[in-house]
Amino acid sequence: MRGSTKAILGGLAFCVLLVILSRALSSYYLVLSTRILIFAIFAMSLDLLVGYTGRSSLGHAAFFGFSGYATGLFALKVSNNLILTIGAAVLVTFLMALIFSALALRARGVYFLMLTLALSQVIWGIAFEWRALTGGDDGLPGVPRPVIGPYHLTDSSSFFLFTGGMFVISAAILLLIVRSPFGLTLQGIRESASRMSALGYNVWLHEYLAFLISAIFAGAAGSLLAYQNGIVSPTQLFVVSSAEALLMVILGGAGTMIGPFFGSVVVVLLEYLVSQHTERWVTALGIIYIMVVVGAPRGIYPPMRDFVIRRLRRGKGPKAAVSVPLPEPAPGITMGADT
Amino acid sequence: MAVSTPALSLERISKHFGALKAVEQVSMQIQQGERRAVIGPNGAGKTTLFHVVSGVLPPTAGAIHVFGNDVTRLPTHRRIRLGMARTFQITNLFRRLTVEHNVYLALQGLTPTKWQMFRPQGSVKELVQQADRLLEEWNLEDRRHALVTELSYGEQRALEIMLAVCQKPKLLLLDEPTAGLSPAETATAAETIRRLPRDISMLLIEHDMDVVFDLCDTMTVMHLGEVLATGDPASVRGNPQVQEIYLGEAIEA
Repeated sequence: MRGSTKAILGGLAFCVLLVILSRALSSYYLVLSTRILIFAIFAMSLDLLVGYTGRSSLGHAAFFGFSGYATGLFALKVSNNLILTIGAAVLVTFLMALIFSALALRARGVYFLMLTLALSQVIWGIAFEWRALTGGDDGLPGVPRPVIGPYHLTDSSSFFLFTGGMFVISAAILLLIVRSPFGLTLQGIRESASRMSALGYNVWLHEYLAFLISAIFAGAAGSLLAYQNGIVSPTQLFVVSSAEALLMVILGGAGTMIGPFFGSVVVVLLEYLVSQHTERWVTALGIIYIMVVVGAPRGIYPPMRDFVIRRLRRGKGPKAAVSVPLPEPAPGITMGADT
Repeated sequence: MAVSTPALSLERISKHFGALKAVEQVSMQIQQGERRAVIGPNGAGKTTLFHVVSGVLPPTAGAIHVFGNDVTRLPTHRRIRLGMARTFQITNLFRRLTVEHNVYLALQGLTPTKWQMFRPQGSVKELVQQADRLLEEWNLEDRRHALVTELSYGEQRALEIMLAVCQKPKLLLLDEPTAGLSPAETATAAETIRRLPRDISMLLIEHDMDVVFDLCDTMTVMHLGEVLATGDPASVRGNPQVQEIYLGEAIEA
């Protein structure tokens, strides 16, 4: 299998790059890079829903932030073992997702968008009001630096490497899923849910599974962010987090799984640059969003990929056309003739 | 075989939208291997009836049996598992996927393969071989990597039928398979349908009378949601009421 060999080589090259970066970058840039990787996992998990299943959610921060709080509370009250904490936080998030997804999937299209927004804001509201447990708008401070057995991940370099490992594993699993028969099934649902039912697929169940898988990875990312920041604040649950992730997916290229990584690079770096000069990051976010939808509706990754493929193809004869997703519609507008 | 259960049996099916009686007290039995056409002017309730039979819309009243199983309250995908398949009047394909992927989706719909998450699509050998054979049979092998949006309308209509047929259904619902096709393409499509295995029972909505007479054993005429006449094509054609609705308003007091 030449395709899979290439993918493994690409993954290894990326691992080597991460190790080099962990030695070369200053602590400040390591923190920034860690943030990029965390948001990349978050955005990729969302791409499974937005780009592949055709379900544009505006409430994905619910999983991200919920897991953050679970991480903070678990680390403060039970154990600070990184593996245990992430495991527990992801498990709790998964259980929450069982209910959240069942409620959200009752609607389609714009109603789905609104429902996910409403549900996630309910969770945000709880975190905001329940001061005794969550610290309210002050957040949950003092999340200790993580520990794995005898190893303390106190310095930014080791935490960066751990996050990099999580990123590589998440990306590998998600890429495997979207290229599998199950992944094709999700894309079929994106294109036409009514045809999928007519072919014998239980559309709802597939969408539900996609949601749960997505929640697992969003949860893992949220857990990492809690450790990264040392504090869990309601911001992590807020609609702006959801919108940022959605922007990363659309900017990078929805339905590509690689694109959201580039989306995360661009958005996190821009956030860093913009917030040096002004506090109006959310305004900038809105402007970028409009620019992307108007100027690069396919996102930045697909054109990059096409360029590289064209370069590599010289002398190889006409190869099978690569299926390149067409422009993703703005979130909320689902494709297909649904009843 | 002893007296076999009908492939499809509708008992007094009604579908109302508020005050509108789209389908009213329709009863129909399609024997195994029978090819039945449903005709009628626009607004007769044919497509609504199709939606009720395939499970897209729940009936207001009545019962549906598929090969003797009561499916009245079953969702679409459960009916499909009983050997039913359908096509759509308005082409309903996976537009931004390749022809090959469309076929894979149809082939794996009724197999456990669709749940596999951790192996590449192309590594399921059996599926690939089946798809190869089908694409060759349907003269689409050189279009295999084309996106559906790149196909001609005629090719899309062919794929529409192919997706329904490749699961080897025992009961096939065809909703205007020749809609929008040129006369030449219509002839090709009709030929394709005629050559399908004789043991597939068929329910066909069609406007083209040549196609109907060519393909079907029996006909049901619907008008304003109700069944007007049922029988073999020749006798239905001779029915004065049928002539009336097709040839113009009767001279009524």
